[in-house]
Amino acid sequence: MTRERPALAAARVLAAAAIALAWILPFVGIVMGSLRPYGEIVNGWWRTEELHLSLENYAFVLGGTSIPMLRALWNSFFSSILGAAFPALFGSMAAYALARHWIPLKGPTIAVLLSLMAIPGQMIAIPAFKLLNSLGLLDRFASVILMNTVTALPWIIFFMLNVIKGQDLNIEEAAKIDGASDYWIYARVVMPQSYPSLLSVGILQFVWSWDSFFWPLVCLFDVRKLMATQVVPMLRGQFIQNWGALCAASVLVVSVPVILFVAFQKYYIAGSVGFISDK
Amino acid sequence: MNRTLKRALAAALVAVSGLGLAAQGVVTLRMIAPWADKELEGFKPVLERFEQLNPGIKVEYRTGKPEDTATILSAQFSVKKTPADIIDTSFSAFIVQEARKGNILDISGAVDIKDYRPGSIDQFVIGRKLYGVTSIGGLDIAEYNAKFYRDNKLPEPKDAKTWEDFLALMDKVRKVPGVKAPIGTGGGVGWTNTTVVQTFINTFGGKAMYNGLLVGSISWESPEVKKLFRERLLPLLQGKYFGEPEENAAVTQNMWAGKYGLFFGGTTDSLKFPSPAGDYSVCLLPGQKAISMWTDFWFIPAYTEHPKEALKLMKFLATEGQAIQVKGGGRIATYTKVPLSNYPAAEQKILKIIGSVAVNPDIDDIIGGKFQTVMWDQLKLLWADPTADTLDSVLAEMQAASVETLKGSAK
Amino acid sequence: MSLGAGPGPSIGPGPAPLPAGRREPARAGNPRPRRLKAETLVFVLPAFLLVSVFLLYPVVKSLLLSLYSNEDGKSFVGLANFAALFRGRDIVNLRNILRLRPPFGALPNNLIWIAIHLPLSMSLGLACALLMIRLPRLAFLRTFVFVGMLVPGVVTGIVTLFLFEKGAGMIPNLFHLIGIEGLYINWFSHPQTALLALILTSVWTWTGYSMVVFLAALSGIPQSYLEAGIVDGANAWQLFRYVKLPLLRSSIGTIVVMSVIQELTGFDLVYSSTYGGPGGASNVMGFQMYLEAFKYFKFGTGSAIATLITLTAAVPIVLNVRNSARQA
Repeated sequence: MTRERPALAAARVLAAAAIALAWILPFVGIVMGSLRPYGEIVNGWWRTEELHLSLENYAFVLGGTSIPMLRALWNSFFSSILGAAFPALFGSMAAYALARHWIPLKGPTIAVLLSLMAIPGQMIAIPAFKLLNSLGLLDRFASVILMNTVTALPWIIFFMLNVIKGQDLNIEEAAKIDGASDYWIYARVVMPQSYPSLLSVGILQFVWSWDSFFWPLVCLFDVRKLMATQVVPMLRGQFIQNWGALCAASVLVVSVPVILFVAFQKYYIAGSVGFISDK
Repeated sequence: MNRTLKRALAAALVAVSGLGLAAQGVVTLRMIAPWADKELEGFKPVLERFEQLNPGIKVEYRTGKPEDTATILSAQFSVKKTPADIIDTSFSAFIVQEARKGNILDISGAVDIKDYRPGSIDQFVIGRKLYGVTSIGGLDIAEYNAKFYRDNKLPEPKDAKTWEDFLALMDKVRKVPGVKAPIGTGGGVGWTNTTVVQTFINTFGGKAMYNGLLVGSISWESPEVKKLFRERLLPLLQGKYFGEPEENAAVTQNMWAGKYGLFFGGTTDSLKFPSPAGDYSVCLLPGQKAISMWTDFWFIPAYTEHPKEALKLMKFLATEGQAIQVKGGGRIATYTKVPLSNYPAAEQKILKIIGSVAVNPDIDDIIGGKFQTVMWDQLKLLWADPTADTLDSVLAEMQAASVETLKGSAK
Repeated sequence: MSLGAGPGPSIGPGPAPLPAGRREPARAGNPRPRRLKAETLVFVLPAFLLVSVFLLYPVVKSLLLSLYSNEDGKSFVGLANFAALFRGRDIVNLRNILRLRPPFGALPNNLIWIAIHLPLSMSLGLACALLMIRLPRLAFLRTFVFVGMLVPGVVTGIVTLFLFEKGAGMIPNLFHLIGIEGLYINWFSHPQTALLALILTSVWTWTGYSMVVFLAALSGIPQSYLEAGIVDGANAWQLFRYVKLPLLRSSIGTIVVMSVIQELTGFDLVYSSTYGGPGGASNVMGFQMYLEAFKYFKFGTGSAIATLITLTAAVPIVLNVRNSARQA
């Protein structure tokens, strides 16, 4: 690449920092709310005439409430990993076939798949609930993982379909000429090529599983099996809200996907190194 | 033969020690109610006492908002199951609707309806059967921090003799440094402005108008109702006596800190303030003849596996339980046999102040359904845009929703 | 990417000519067989079976309810539920639209939402992606933009408080600081600003989504394409307009479809902050559906609204599928 003027590079850093700051500020309010008494932030968390910081709310939320958050966080974590892995696998497989194989009524099938995304969860709650009940899945993590998988499949198929279609066909055809099977091509040619996108899919779907409230609400009721999102509103009383506890719980709920996102940053970067490196 | 004999012996043993053995097998009842944190603190002693009296029954508590509970139950009832054996909700219309579908246990005879405040339990009598009992509740009332008036050398609102006196006092409050507005406005999802409207109807409308609006025999668009809104409420809104809406926790906090002189809240607010017994004060408006009360309700889903135990718990909750729960503060019993001495000082003060006036059931809670949502939402619009034109459309929307909702529940 | 150095037959190691918008080389001489292979079934069956049983079947079952009475769910009423929807003022408030005074109704609100939210969140996301991909060492900054996506619906109500409330929110206080007192209000309490506040919150949330999708797409662009452009003397803008943008087309398609669906079905945000108010000024179809089906217990009407949502969402979906079918 051509060498850049340092002023341009500096401007870029400044712009990125400004955007990042603008985006994080609303969340700083919640962090402040979790560390400071409600009375101090009610007229602006940025005011510091009075400043008392404490981690009490976190201790309370993690272990002091009737339903400790720690267990719920773990429940959410492993079921969201599965709730992202299954649809990513099945979805990318279906997307590959839709992109590369002949399938009757392909266009209408994709259109129907996508239209299914436009149905709010509440609408299908009762028929789906009856199915889960007859399969004996109620009050089991499998029910939530299953529903998160099913509701994710349409978008993941669609997303990966676009990604795979955009990939170079020639490598696949070369492999085919060499006698490779479809399975080999999917696993060794198509997936490695689309891994930044597959990672995006995985992270996005993990977050959506993690954040889902409706299916856990309906399917899980044993207090030991509750998900983190189910516990947050339980800190809210009928008329009295413990804002500190609510904010602390919110920060905890958000922290796990944040850590995951940060951890996978380097893979994104790895995916873009060839393009950015100033050779 | 030998085996048969052993069995017979065993059976006899069981029969003899019947009760004792049954008590050893502990039944766990699952409960869903909307309280958390401080509110739950006041309820825990109730459960402890019940478990003490009934060693064979354990209660597992879980917090659930009425909206979420209704969603969960619609799904569960469709497969004839229930996630809890006894449930507290503020949606009385939900209980009635599900009772008609056969999803709620008939609890006739569990309590005597005459022991409860009028209007708090009658709606659950369908035919000759009873499907729910009333829980504790709260009163709509104007509340303030007495210290604020002392510090600023102003008379307290309770001493205002006439409406004009009251308004003059609010005008003085407005001039106190640091005051945002004389009266706070609650924001958020919505019920707070209904408190103001119900208090105004109780003050300027009277019993006939209140009951007429409650049962639908008087229209929200009738001349007398319109006149009340136009002459009593609208000028206050236009004159900016009410502040900018704030989240409920914020507005009460700010009222206590002297940013508002007064707030039309509920008696449940007393739990939020540091010295409820001392400076937390409530008042009736000059000429206020009645006060509104909302309550929660208990019901037992038909699909409970322990109907006998659940009924026992419900009976306890509706009687002795109320007497214990009010001790935690912030709540008023609907069970009329709860003695005044059970209440903390703050609530005793409140009950003495309102002792002389009638208690009316909460309009939007009792009509429920669409009317409740529309009333909350339309009043927010009126507060944001207090013009005669908006008032007309607000009352029209409320009347249409009232007709529709009452028609639906009459079936 | 493996492409630049790999033995890819079409894109050689040397600079290739600029691709003219199409990414797949012509394959006229290679017609695919119109025959269903066993392998194809293995690939699609897990997904299709799951979707058919747990999604398609319940959806059809629920949507059919829109043709049945609210009272018992059994008597067939044809399109009566739909007709009733358009007679009321919740979905379309014609009188107020003509006077240009909110509330306008849920359907117009949804359209306004799309008209503001889609271009704003997508262009911001693209700008962030283009900027961030040049700053690999500052990759953690991406997390800041993405944090909106990480906030679950049950928490958004709290976020909005810190954004738009007069006391605790930053935005009214910011306007106060620069002297625009008209906007020093609680944005959710006024019919003129409530919807806009929700839309802006949603932009805060969704910019992270389009940034991530664009980032993945940008990092997938073979370096050789860009080098070819540079060799041809393209400046930064030309490089973006003629090399990157055409290659982002399918990502744009993905984002448009996903965003429009989210904009049409959105419910959490309204539920947790304004409850559709004041007076319905920030009401949307998804929320009205919730009210009808789960608060007023009119399942037929709720299903009718869900049907309307699905039909409206079908427009961009069908357009997109057609478009990508033509491209392929």
